[in-house]
Amino acid sequence: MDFYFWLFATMAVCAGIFTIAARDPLPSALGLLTVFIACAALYLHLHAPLIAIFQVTIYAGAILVLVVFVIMLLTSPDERLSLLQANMSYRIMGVVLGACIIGLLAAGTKGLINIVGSKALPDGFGSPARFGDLFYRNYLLHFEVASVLLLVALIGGIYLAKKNL
Amino acid sequence: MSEVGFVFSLSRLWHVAGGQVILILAGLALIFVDIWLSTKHKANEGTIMGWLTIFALMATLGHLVFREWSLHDIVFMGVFSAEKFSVFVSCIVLMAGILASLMSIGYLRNNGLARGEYFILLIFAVYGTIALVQSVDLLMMFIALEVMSLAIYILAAFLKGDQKSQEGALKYFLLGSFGSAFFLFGLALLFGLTGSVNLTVLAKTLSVGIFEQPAVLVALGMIMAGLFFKMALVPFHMWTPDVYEGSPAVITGFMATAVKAGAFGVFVKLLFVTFTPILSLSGQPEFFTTVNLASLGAYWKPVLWWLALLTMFFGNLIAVSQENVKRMLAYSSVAHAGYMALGILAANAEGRMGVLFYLFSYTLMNLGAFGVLYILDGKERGAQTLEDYRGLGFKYPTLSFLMSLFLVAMAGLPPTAGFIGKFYVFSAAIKEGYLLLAALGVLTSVIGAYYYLRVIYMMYMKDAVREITPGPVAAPTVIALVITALGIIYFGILPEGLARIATIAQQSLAFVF
Repeated sequence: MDFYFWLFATMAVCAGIFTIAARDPLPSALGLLTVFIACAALYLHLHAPLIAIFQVTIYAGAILVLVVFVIMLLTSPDERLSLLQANMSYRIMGVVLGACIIGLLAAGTKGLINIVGSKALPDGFGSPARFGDLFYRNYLLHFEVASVLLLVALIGGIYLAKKNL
Repeated sequence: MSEVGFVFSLSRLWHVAGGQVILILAGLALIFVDIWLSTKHKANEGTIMGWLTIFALMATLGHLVFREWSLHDIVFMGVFSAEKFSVFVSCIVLMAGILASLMSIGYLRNNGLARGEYFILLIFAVYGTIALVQSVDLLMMFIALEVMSLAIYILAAFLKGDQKSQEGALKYFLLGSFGSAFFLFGLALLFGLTGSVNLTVLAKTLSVGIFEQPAVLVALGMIMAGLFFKMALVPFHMWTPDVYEGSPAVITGFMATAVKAGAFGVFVKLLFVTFTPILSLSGQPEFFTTVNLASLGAYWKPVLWWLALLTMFFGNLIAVSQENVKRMLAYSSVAHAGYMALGILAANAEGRMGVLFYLFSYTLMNLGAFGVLYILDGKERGAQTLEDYRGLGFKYPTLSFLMSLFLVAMAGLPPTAGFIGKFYVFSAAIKEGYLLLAALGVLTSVIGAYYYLRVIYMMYMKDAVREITPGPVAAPTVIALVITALGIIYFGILPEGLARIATIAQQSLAFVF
């Protein structure tokens, strides 16, 4: 048995359960952080160090900070979340949707295994150097145009959000 | 060949995608110009920015047309192509951009909204559309599609205090993201199956046998759904009326023409380069196997048949019951998308030429109609209902005449370019044996004539019930209206020149590699 995999997989699942079971939003966010980190460790194990780095910087770093900010700004200290959790129809819906997603994921994984099978990884797979080489050679223009996309989003965001320009 | 073309060189970038470079540089420069203007010349900010935008778009147009004569490279890094088809559609987009900027100067003044961001976003919207049309790479298509959409979402919400504008923009954003997600899923499937995102490489790889897998059909369906959303074909048209009614009038005109031209252009390119055997005509031995792809037609043609029919019927039928002229034009633009889909369905040289001609003439008449509409409107939502148009014919003879001309062109009556466009599309469909669909299409255009001519009837045959106050007519808008009106009549009487260019343009699709 792969000790490394089972350690972090268990950690991810436990933290995931904690995330949805926690009574207060802030510990729930911390649970989510643990899920992200555990997933990053799993990616590292799958020879995808770059994805692991992205996982930590973007998800655990940027997105989680955003989540925490929203929680701090929007929710009052106690009530809201527990109020939602008490609602029975939410729980039933959650169980049904959750079961559906698990089913979909299982079917998807099965399909993926059928298509891909087990193959040896090409040389240098997933290394940041190989990625950078592809990214700044074959996909250079995509990278540049994506920066225009961000610029447009920035201009629009400022225009729409600011009251007195 | 595209695989070995992954060498970056500035001069080749300038040759193939120089228009895009000009637009990006102009957009960046205008940001700084706008900052300077808003502190020094606040009063003339809108006008100066507008003319600078027009200048930048004209420069791009000049570059594109000039490069076509001295072209020795077609594809750059397997991402952008500058064959005549892309250039033709890019010119339509630039024309729409220039006309929209000309009208925007007056529109923003009438609405007391002279802000520089408007023109910067407009330039980036044009940039995104041209990048979309020029790309021969699915991933770049997606990114360019997003640049275009994002700029348009914000322009749609540009009337900040106006609830309808905000509501329309939010609907557009949510549904648009959904449509883009479909495109992205299709892209991912194709990449997973073939390991490439380049259109010609895809065609070559698919034709070896992969195209028989059901996953390819799923991918094709998803990509088509994503693009149909932008083209506003029924059943993907749900967002159109609210967004077109809510957005600033000139932006609505731009959306209905440039975005539609971009989406149609890229759909034609994608469909014919990757999923039909057009490359086998190119004479390159490596593409001989792409003849196999003809069997995919059995799947996408019936789908397009039904969509074209539904689009023509729904668009025209629902437009009949509209009281708001802007909303009516929204449904009419849905119906026009149906006629263009007919040309794609025909899948022959004349059909593709018809689509290009139709896009060109539709850009002229639609932007013209929205130009008159915003002047009559005064301030946005001042006078948009049919009742407001009663008796305008004698009080504002020139504006009413122009409106009538644009509506007659949209109804497809001779001697306007609208008639010629419909003629090409229908005759192409009949040549391919879609007799029933063409007959039904002509029937729907009769329904269309009813609601277009009703506006004219209201203007000339009825007495006014309430006083409306049209806004002042700005000089740039006059230029734009004169260009559109003359264009419609000119291409209605002498269509051969444009038709010949469009024919050559669609032929060039076989040489994208």
